[in-house]
Amino acid sequence: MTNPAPAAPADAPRTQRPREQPVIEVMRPKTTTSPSATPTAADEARVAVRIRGLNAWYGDFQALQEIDLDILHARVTALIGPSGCGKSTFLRWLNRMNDLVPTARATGTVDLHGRDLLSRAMDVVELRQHVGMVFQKPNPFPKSIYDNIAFGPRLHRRIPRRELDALVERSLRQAALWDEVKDRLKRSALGLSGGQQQRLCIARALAVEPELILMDEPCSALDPKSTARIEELIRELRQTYTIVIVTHNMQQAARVSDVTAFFCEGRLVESGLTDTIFTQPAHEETENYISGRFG
Amino acid sequence: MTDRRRMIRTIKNRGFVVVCVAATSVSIAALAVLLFAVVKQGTKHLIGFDRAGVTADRAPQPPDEFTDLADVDWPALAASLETPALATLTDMPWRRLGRAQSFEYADEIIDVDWPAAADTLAWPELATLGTVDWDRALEVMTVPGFGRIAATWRNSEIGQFVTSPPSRRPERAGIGPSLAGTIWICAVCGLVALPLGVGTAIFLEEYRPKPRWARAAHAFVQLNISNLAGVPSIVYGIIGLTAFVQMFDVLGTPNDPWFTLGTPDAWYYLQVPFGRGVLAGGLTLMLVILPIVIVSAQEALRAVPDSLRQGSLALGSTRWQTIRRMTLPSAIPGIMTGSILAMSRAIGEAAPVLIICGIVFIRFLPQNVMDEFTALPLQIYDWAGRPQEDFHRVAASGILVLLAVLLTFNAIAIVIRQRFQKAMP
Ligand SMILES: Nc1ncnc2c1ncn2[C@@H]1O[C@H](COP(=O)(O)OP(=O)(O)O)[C@@H](O)[C@H]1O
Ligand SMILES: [Mg+2]
Repeated sequence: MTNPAPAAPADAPRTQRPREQPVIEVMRPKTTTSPSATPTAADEARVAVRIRGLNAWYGDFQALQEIDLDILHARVTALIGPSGCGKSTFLRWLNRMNDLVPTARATGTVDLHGRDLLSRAMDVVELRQHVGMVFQKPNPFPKSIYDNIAFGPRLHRRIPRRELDALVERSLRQAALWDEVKDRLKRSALGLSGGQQQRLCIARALAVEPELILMDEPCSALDPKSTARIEELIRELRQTYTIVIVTHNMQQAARVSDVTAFFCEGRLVESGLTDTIFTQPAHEETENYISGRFG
Repeated sequence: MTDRRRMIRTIKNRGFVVVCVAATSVSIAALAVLLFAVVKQGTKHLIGFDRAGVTADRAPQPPDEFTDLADVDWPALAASLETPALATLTDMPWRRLGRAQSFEYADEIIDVDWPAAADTLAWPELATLGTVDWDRALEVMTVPGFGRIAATWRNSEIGQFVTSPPSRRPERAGIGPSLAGTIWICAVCGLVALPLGVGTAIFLEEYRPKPRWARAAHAFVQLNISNLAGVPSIVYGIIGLTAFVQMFDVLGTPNDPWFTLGTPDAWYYLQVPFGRGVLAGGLTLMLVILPIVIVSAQEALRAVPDSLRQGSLALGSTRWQTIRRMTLPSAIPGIMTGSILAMSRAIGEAAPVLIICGIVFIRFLPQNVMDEFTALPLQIYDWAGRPQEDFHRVAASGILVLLAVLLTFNAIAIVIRQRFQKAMP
């Protein structure tokens, strides 16, 4: 299904700038701008989504320029960068939510299991069953907790009641919400606290059994305690799901992610193992941003 | 200087409040006077209970209305009067005869022009009925009673008023046919306007086209619908007259239709062009309220937060599934409220209906969507315009019934809104 990550950067089959890489490696042996070169983690990790030469526009405004990035299977990838640098835009192309913006368009390839997500032939409805999304502001549906979770599965097929009950319970358990809501599944989801609502939204996304979960600043509307719970949840989900999370919080990126990608003004400045990026960033911009000197 | 300014400012501020309070008081007073006048006039005709009527049981009674003649047991009458010809009247279309020769009451059977009836109904045997001794027949003629409960309702003043047809005598005049006509045209209007209006609103709000020319067309339609909501309703009456009644004269005339289904007596009778019937009236009213339904449904849809749509789409639903399972259920209370208020406007509209059906004296309830009809506002208008004072009272009673219907509709709208607001905090 997915291609194994190349052992050495020079072997990366579809990298667009193969000749630059040795040069960079000579200059900075520990990190590289090549997206597929995340040495230790990449050794075992498969590539879940391979992004090459992604450009995105809103009308005439170019929001993303030539993004190359590999998103690793069963790992958490954090996207960091100053506001307006295109993190959400990037995320929203991974499940084609940008189709809803009339002026939005994109070029390049986003490869998931050998299929190009950006192609016209891609069935976006089916795609979104494989790529779930959690939004910045919790958006529970004005329905019962049960119906919120069951909404996704019910879209795709008729499910016997007992099977659906089990699915709801499993999703809520995965999102660490079951114990808090098991006695009030039939009550409105709008009665939950903000943190619970966000975990409900995560459970709702999990219920359709996606491979990839996109989270756009999932904690920015929450208090520190709820944030800690969600972070814990993300660390648990990492075992089974591939997660891409946008965050403004450097500590959060450091705590939950395996790989970090730093965006600035529509470009991917650098990406690599989170430890490396935070301790030995290759670029001065990254270092400035991480240390809080701008952004 | 500053003191002066401050004083002016204070006066302006106070004056503003005074003017607002005065304006509100005047409008409330005007409303109160209006209601008082209508109630004072109208209740005279409505209140009062015919206790004698309660005792009227299922016992046979003489026929009253011309149409009551249909309930007479003609073969039995023929036997008791030894006039076999009377037996043929069992199948008589009394309604059509009454309409053709404009009779209202059963005793007018004496005046029926039987040879003419034989002609119009293409029923030669009727010609012989001119020789029947109708005076004697009327003395023994009976129809079955209504039964206790029906009689109570029918014999109360309100029951009488709501069920009986208009009449030359004010004390007998009722709003039966016009109330029925209003119900019929509003039913047609609602059944067409609701799906059409909500469908258009969904298209305008939920399907935003991408190509530039399509977006321009979209904006153009939107602009026009907002403008249509302000067009005087009489204009729609004229549109309805040419488009539905006559169909631009390209498909024959209403009297010589291009297409018919069934006979004029059948409940499913249909003809094209529609003529001055219930269908044309209902569709014309539909035109009047369609922009209101569309605009209010659009507002209800717009009030649904985008985050819900995005959340639904992100789970892999199609656009239609999102509309069907997320947007519409959230917007339904708003759509219902707007539509019910639009319907209550339709009930009160007189101008467009007047153009379709004119002021006509109709004593029968519509039987199918092609039947001619009259509506409550027109009936009221007709009575209010008559010289006799008594008819003005009847008109006021009609207004009370109309107000009651409108209040009921508004109450339903409020209940729906409250119910849904409670369900979805
Ligand atoms: N719907 C849109 N239409 C036009 N421009 C947009 C739209 N959404 C985002 N942008 C622009 O694209 C750029 C990137 O936005 P975004 O991806 O939301 O940034 P981030 O999530 O990193 O803060 C910003 O300059 C923003 O103004
Ligand atoms: Mg963002």
